[in-house]
Amino acid sequence: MIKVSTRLLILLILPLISCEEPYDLRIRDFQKEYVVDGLITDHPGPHQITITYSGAYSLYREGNNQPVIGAMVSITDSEGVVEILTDAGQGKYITSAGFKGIPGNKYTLYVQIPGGDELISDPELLPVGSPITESQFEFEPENEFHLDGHRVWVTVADMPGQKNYYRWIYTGVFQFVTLFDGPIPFSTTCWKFEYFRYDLKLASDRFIDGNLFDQNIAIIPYYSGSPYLLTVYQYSLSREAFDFWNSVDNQINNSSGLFGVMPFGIRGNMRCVNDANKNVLGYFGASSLIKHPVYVTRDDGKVKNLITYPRNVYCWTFGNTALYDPVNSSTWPDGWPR
Amino acid sequence: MPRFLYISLLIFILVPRVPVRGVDINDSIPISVMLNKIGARYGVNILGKEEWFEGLHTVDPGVYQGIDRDLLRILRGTGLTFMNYRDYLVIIYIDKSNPGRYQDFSSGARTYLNRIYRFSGQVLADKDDEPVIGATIYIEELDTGTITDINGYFRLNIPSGKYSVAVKSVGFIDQEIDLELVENIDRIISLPNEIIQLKEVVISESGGDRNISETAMGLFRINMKSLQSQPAFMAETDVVRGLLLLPGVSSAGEAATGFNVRGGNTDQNLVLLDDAPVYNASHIFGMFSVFNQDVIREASLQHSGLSARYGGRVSSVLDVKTKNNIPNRFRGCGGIGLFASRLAFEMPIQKEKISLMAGGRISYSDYLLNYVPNKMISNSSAFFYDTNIKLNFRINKTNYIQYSFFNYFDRFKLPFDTLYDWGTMNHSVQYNRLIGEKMVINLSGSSARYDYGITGNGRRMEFNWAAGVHQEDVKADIYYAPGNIHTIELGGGMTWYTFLPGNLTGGENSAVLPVDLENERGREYFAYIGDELSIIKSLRVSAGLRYSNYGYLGPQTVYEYDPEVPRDEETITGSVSYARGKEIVVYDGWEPRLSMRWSFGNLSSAKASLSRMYQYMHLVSNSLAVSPVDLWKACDPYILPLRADQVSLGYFRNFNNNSIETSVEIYYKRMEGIVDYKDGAELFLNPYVDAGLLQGKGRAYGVELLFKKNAGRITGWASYTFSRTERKVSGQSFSETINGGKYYPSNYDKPNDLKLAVNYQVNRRWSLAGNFVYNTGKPATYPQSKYLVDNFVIANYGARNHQRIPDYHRLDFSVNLKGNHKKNKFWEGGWTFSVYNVYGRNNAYSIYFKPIAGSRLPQAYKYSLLGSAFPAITYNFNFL
Repeated sequence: MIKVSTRLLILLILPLISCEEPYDLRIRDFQKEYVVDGLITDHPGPHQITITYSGAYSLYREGNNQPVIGAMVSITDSEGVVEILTDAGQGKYITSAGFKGIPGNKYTLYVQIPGGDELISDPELLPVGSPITESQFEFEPENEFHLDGHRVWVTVADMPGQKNYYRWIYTGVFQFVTLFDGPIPFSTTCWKFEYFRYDLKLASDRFIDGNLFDQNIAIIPYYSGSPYLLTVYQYSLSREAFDFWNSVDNQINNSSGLFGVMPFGIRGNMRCVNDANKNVLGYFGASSLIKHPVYVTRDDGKVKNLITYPRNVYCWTFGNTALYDPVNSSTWPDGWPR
Repeated sequence: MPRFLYISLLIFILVPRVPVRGVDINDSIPISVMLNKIGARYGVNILGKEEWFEGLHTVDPGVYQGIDRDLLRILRGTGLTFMNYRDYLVIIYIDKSNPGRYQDFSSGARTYLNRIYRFSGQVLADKDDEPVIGATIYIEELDTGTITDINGYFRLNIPSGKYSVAVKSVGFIDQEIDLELVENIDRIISLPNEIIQLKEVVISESGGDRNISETAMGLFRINMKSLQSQPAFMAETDVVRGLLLLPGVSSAGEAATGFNVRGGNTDQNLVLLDDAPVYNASHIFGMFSVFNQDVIREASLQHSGLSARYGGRVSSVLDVKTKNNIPNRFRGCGGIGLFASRLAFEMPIQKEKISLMAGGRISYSDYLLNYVPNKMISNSSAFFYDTNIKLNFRINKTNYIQYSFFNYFDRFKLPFDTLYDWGTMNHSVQYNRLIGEKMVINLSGSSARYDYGITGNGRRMEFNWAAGVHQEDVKADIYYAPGNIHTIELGGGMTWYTFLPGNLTGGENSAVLPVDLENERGREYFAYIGDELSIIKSLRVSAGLRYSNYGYLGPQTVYEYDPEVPRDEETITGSVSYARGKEIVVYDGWEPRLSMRWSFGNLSSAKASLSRMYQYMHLVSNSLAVSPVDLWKACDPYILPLRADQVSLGYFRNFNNNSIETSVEIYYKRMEGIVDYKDGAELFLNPYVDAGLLQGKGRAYGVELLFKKNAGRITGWASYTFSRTERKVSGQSFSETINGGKYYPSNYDKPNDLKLAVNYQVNRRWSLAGNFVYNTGKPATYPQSKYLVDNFVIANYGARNHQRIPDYHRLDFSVNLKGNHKKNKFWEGGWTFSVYNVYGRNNAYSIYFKPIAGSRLPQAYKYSLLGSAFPAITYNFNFL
């Protein structure tokens, strides 16, 4: 009786799994609005500002939004230094290679669009960054949320007595050997670059001011026994930038479910000078950047899900230019031990 | 004894056989004929005993002066007098106020006329010793009687003599007892339950024509026994989920914490369990309510025309009472369900004086979830329990003390590293004293604690966050009924609030620094008076006035903000620290209440009510559904009280001997001081949280139609509501304004709302029941366009709540098998089988937008909760 009822109960509870499924919103008309997407750091340029129009929301289509071309773009810092940006086409505007931000200064982006609209940012603070003191990784066996992998942490020494906000991204690269058949078989060593851009990692020191804290950066899937080089990019954020990214994070990761945050239009730090009714989307950010390499040796021999790379794969030598797509390269990457 | 008088409602009246001395009037008509004419003229039934009128004549004046004056004239000199019962019945009886005449008409049995004794006692249901409320105690020989009070007690002062006492109540077999009154007598009368109750109605506005005759509007009394035969989620009978089938009551979605009444937020409902407030009445994020069906005696919800006795929340009062009888033997009941099981018992401690009732419920879903082959579910865990303890002390006939304890705890652990817990600990004491037969004094005190928290176990980020609301109340109520058409109530009390916005502690190796926000304190005192009377027979008025005064107390640090710009952490110009007990700000208000009923005969009436209510606290939530760990915020110098004004009009009409009730109600409600929040505002552990809050207006209006069938094998109701509920937040700056300062739909604005509940009694043991609900999809905010920042696709959401999710509909079904109704069984069991969401409709809970995982392709998703059919079975039992 008990056995039967247990099985019955399981059947009954199964449907408790709430479900999410794609849904066609059928939004037809929309208002085109200016979008500013830009970031300067305290590293040498060129830094890029992209100006586009917001695009139609459409199901199953990623789409690139229409660029705003021919604009005049400049950045002024709180010491009065003006940097005029160069139009690189396709709505992209770049600073000179020598331009780099100075922590503690405030930067204002000014955009004059052909047709007369003038966009301006609130003065954006480039906050001083807190150092990464060390990094660790440890093997985590497969569980309900990820496969076998190594979890990577960085330890950050939060600067005391001030409000600090953080955002992290990371890139990864690992080595593999590919074999070429043919009249004279040969092998070549390749590197595979991986970028993880859809993972938004944010933190504020609101409850940890001045303390060392461990930030979880990534789980590196364990399907190769060779070492893995992870590069952590830590950006310092102003409070406004943190609010912006936190809103984005809420929208992406916390808008579903029972107690998801009610969605709302995210406000950035840009506005239209000549017409207050024109909403300007996006964010002009200024960050101190700290790069921290983590060389994950992966020599514990626990690899289970080994992927064998196919033969006859060329190592495409696109280098780092195709920044946002996984590439294979024959170029020895920076930071990889020789 | 001939029973020729019959009142169709609750009472049979038996008139004594008494000879009447005749008065001959020759050139006139018999009184009985004249009474018939008068009855026809005024549309009333006039009841009396024919033999009294034998040989009596009167003159037909041909003109009428009103029923009272006409009857006085006709009956003058006959030794008979009359009383009005309701508006459609006149009862003629022997006038005992004149001893001389009385002697003349009295029978030989009455020989001790000048000695008056007290006949008192309590009427209890035979089956479970529950007090029978409103039972009729009728002394046939004297043509007098009374009705039992809320605890089943009655008291009569009558001349000594031998009497036959008739005791009657709906749902029970009539009892006739012999009484020889030569001293004061106190007796417990047990009424056997009617074996079969075909007239089961799940949620009834009591029996008969009460819906027509009383002044109250929007009042629903919930009968626990019959609620059990209606389909319930997981076959767990639930008061709060039962409420959702009533017109005017809705929720933000499936399994949302709390309920919304006529456009009010969930925090605007005063939920009382034995007079102590319950701040969150939900287990497992609203899947079940915290009220254990085995310990509940009755529950009622009222949302318009509220008595001045109630205050503190502006939308409704859900008043839940636990059992308060003193049983004469031990007995228990319980149930075994899929998620939880329950057990309750009652026992006398001292016969007829002291009793104990205790009940508990515990879930074992934690154990069950581990068996589910889905990792997300098996790694979550949910657990709850609740406990009720009640002590009843009946000191004597007129003094009664009750102590009630209520405790529940909930824990929900997410698969990652976060654990939510919440719980309540309530105590309440009530002292009732009867003074004479017409006055009741009630003194009560309660302490209510709602505590909640979150525990995190992240690496070097271990933390514990704890928050809560504590409330202590004392109050006194006096209820005085100088006549059966006139009642007065007055009272007052004091409430102390402590709001704990939370403190944060880290573990030993945690980087988390402790945060301890100052507790907020408030006190509220109130006084009220209410009076209900019939001005003329067809017009009954209930008028009341309440005064409430709230103070926000120190110790507290109040931040000062630059008045020129929106309040923000950055615009703080200074702060003021107030000492303990200092009144930092005081808000007060007069709360008039008025309801009226105009009846058109005994089958229809029109009602109107007006009310103003104040509320000095707010529940602040920025999520789609209110959660158990949302912030309770006291009114402070920046956050003003909430005020709601409501006007309702209704027309009530019964058919077919009151077995069919219909009504139409319309209402308009406006609210000032509704709390909203700035987009993206931080509500968690924020010492400047008032800077992130906005206040605005709300309005709600609608029409509610109800058709209800109370009798026959098929019972149930259908209700249709058209309503709108809207908000308006218009501040000084852009960030303090929502949707351009225009009215926009609230989160639970569902214009069309249809509810059906049907119960079919197949035979004595089997019954079938079904519910169907349909409503317009609730408002949602959709993206207007999309854009890219650092390769993140961001949805650009437009005006708040300007779209709607798909419509909601659902069918539930249940089969009930009861025990075999044999009397005096040790054990009686019954089965309930139910299916929730029979056709497995995948109702949307929300529509939201995010890029597809691992890409930047934008995608809208429909999120559904309980998106398939849920069969469940529960075994309920009673023993001893």
